[in-house]
Amino acid sequence: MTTASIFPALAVLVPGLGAFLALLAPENSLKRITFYSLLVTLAGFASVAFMVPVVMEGLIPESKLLALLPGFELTLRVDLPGLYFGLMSSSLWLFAIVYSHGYMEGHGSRLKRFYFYYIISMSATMGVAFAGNLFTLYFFFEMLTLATYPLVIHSGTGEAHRSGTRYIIYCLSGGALVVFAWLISQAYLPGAFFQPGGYLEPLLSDHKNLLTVLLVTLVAGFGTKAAIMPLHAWLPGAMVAPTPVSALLHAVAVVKSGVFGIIRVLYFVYNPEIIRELAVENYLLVLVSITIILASILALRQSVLKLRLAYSTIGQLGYITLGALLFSSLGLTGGMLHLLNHALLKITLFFCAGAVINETGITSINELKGVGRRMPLTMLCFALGGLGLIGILPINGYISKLYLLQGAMESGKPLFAFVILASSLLNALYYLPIIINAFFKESDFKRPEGRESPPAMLVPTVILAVLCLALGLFANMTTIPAAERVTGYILNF
Amino acid sequence: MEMNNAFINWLPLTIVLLPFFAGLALYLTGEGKPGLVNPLVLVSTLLPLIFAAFFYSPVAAGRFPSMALDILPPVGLSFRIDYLSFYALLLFTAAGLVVSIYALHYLGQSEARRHRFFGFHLLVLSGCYGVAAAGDFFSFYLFFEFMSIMFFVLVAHNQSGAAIRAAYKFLIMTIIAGVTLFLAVAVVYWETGTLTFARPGLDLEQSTLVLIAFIGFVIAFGIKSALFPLHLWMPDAYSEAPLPAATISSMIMLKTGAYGLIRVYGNIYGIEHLGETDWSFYLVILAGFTILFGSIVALAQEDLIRRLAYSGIAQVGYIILGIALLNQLALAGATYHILAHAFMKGALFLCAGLMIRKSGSRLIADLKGIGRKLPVTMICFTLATITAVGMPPFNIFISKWHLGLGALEAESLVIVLILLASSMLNAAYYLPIVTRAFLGAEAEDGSEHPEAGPGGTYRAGQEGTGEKNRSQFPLLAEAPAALLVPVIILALGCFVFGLTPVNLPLVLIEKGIALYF
Repeated sequence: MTTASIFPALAVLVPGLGAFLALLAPENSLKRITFYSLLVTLAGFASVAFMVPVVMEGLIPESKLLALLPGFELTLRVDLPGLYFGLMSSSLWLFAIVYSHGYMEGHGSRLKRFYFYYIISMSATMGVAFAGNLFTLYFFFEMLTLATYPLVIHSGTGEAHRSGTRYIIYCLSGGALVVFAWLISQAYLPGAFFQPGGYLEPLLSDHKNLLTVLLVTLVAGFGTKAAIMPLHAWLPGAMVAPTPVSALLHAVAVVKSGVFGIIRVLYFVYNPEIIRELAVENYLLVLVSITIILASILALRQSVLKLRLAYSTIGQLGYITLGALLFSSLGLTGGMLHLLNHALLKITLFFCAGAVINETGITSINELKGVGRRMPLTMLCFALGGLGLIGILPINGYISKLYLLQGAMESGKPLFAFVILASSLLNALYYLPIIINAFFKESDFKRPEGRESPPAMLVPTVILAVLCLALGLFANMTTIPAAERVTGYILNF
Repeated sequence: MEMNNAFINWLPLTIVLLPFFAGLALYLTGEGKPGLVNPLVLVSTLLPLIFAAFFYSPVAAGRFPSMALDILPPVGLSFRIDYLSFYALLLFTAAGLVVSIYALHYLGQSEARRHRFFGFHLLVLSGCYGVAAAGDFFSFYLFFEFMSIMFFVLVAHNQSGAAIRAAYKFLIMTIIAGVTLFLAVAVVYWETGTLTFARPGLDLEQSTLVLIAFIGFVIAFGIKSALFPLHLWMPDAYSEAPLPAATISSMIMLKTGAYGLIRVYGNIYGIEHLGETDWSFYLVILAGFTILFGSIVALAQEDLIRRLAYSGIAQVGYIILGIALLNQLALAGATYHILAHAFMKGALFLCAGLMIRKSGSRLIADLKGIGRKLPVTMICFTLATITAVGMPPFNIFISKWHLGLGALEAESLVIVLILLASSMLNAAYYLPIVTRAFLGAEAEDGSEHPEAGPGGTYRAGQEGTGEKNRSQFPLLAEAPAALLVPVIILALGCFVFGLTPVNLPLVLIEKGIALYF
């Protein structure tokens, strides 16, 4: 049941327009810029949070932003999955803005530009979360690419520009695939909105091949952002961006927009029955499995900390896609849980990595021997995040893995349970040496005199790490009911 | 009565959390507060033992205190003290206390990173107690993993390259165990919707997936209890870890693997159900092979700690064998062997520590004549050795007797022969140590002995008791009481249960096992 509401529009427009507020601050006053940014993100978060009770009642707040032609209309509709993704992303923006304050202290140039685009990306991500149709989704999807490009090339070095170029080519091509598929579907079913169960069913009898082509195109389009191999090459390159960007955008918002897009396609444009009819899901599952395993192996070979985390992200995104592709309710619940759990764990890991890089200037894993002595709390949080991604109890990562394993069994494809387990093992192989190096190798690092890193960085990191632990222990009161509710909404058509 | 029940039901959680928070506090705040370590370790290992004793009256009356917390989905965190849990908990808390007392003096105030060692020592113990008290397999899994991962820090304690390599090897094996166990647990939960220990078997249908889960369980617990060929982590870890940590691992952690397997057999699959398959038969073969392998390799070890490590592999092989034979007598023998081996191997390890400290070498060849300097230590060592060989009334006689009868009941003469052969091998690798220590002439000049064992970096060797001043020891130079008393307690434990009119552990075991048949 849709109901006209201003809040979806606010969630997108408040950060979209509010970003200009950051431009009003004096260029060199980091404090003022951060304050304005925090205000804007808080207002954006509040607009999302206000919708929670409404959506929980079963209503779908709707804002029509713009209607050019039938079908070419920007419509925001906040259903349960959108709210879940939007709430998660917008709350992480709050942490990230605070963290950026600590991080950007040492990287003082072009502050206003940085914050401006950082907040614009929030607007775009909310748009992705709340998009009511494929066109809106495409629009905000492209906007996200364009808003994050200046962040990738922020440092202005040659390498940054090269990576930025690759980034924008990949992501815009992905967008082009989406718009191509949308235009074709538009020709058959103009003006269709996302709905549980999809809207392509009428085409199934006569246009089976077309549906297959469209599906592959859409998955490839969104898969580019979700870094499904072989479309992943932009992600490691994007790590030249400042760490707050890598942490929030390239571990959470941008890449998960891709995954979220895939979920929208699989369940709100198509539905499991149609896709089974097309008999492509096994190919996609195999592709995603290869992504999971290969990304983990490549992560092993990285000696630069942020690159290792980036490859790990590629693998972990595969889990979510795998969960969505299993077409079982437990699998999808697992995917939804991992969307959140991985976001929290990976942003924690990146925050730690950023703090380490900021304090010591070291980016290579081999040189981080004994850094746990210099930054004990930071590295403890890192250890927690790493163990969580391996799937050690009671940190939240294990819950999603448990659901994914059961999803694999539920859908009668236990083979993919082994993929997840093998990848867990590989996760251990690439996270544990970092932790061991940090705490058990002798080195010249000394105990910090005073603080180990600026409180603006340390406090969000610690809160997120504690949150990871808490959401593991108390998942049955928090994330599991939420994810089950979302899954129930998606599958109940 | 109501109050009393609530109190008893919350005790298991208290027993687990006490050393947990003490260990955490010690690690986080202990640096620069050396006075904190000893009292904190003593209190948080003594109280769990006392609390564990409280379970005697309800458990003896057949009431099993239990409690469940609605955290840690999907199953929740639960505790349940039945006969076997009580038995294991009592053993683990007692061993934890005794070894802690020894460790506090063995790794004295001059020890580097002492607060970290004892902090994680307590965390490991907290995990061990949790394993014993767990009321379902998911809680068991939580504590089992926690214990293993925390133990990593103890192995890596001295931070030498070799120690970190050994610790890393251990950690990787642990993660493999964790992953396979996770799969197994997920399959069982998927098939039955429960993981409780309150039922004798969960009525699993036979299927490929269930067989895979069984293999997963065997691999996970095989790694923990060093079943051939999954033992690879163990000799290195034991050589590199500080001796008290190796002792904890040998006395308690190896046993958690065996205990887990008993739970898998008894509470997950159900012994009758497993009897309908031939899955367990392969485990019998593996265990038999492990016994022979461990004993023979032990014979070839020149290094005392490594000999003890390989002997441990063989001994835990008995336990696995007894479980896998699927009959009541063998299972009773196996379960009793958990205790028998804990006391025996604990005594051996702690004696070995004193001997190594005194002689400055870990090589068995260097221990000549040390018995004359350390008579009490050597008597304890001898007692433990006799236990290992399996003479009545020592504990291992009781377990081997049951195992032998069980093997006969399973009509497996080969197993009986393996048990006998292994007893002889035990004699062959333990007795020479004793005879050499008591009767061997002390070497006049040490030049024929290499400086240190294969571990190379063992600290005891670096503490100034080198070759030269070894012969200058006073005639009697026993260790201080704080080190000696734990040794004596463990040595007495090797036979005292066989002498008392009621063998309490055996009674508990028999009652507990009867529920499975």
